[in-house]
Amino acid sequence: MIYLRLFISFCIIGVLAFGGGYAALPLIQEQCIEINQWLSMSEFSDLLTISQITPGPIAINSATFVGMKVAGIPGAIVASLGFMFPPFIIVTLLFLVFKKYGHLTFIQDIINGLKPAVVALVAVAALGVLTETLWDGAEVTVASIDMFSAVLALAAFIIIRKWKTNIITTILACGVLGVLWEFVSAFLV
Amino acid sequence: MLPMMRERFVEKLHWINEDELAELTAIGQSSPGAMVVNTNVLMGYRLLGFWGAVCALLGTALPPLVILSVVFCFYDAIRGNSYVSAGFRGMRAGVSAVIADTVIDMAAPYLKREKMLYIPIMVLAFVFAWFFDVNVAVIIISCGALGAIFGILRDRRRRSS
Repeated sequence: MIYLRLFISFCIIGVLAFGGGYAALPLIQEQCIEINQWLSMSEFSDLLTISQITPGPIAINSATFVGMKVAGIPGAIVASLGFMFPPFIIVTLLFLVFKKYGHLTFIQDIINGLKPAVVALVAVAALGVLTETLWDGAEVTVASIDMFSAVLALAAFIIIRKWKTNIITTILACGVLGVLWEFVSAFLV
Repeated sequence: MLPMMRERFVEKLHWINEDELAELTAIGQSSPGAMVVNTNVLMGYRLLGFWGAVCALLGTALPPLVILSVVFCFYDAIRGNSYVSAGFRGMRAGVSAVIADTVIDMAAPYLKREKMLYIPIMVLAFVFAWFFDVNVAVIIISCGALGAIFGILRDRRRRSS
């Protein structure tokens, strides 16, 4: 049953999403693209884009988006509940442990070990998105790089690193440039 | 997000004090899932017990749930338009840049001397995920176990010295 599969997949994402907002990305990618084929890589990139420019945690945004796409509004609700269910239990247990002992050293040791791995996994997910940006599903060769996207991504990267510009403004500006470029190339051809 | 929570819960509503918020945030960050949801659930527990936590959970999840549902409907309706997809292609370039920037910020603290120990974990996790396509869950669980072992070894050394 689709609802059960959505719930379980997002439970798995929820139980393993340690270490901040982006930690869920590689898990979402694995569950929704590789294991279940609910999203294409291009839709995943669009989902990320939408998550970046709307408020709310990326994981809940993703659960809603994927749930909507696969099974409509009930799907969105089931997927979001699935994502929040394991953390709800775990946070309850940690609250009780903290009340009793006044520290969470053991769980913090575990997180210290897994956080560098999460950085690496987010890097892998980032490379996936970059591949999608530069090649848009085409075969990965030097000749087939989408030069407009490459230049735009590099320029955005330099601007963000250098001036720490607002994320939403930067992404929207890139979107506007994308539309303008489409206009210009339509005239040129 | 944290400044907003402080302003609302500490300064405006006086539900908890500054120290308690810091404590709840620390517990929230130690749990998997979205930090905001976790911290709000803890706030619910602190104020009203179990049902307070349930209300906080639903209250935090509802706005993104509604917003994204609406956005999804728009997205689904207009994605076929060539200018819309051109806009998304442009934004995708921006998102790639933002994520690259975030990854660098996340990795930078590990270059400090006292955290060097964790660099091999990072490199191994990358190699296993990128080149060998090892399951993400397997990598996270084994690195968590490694962290627990490091902790136990450290406690032993501390006790013996």
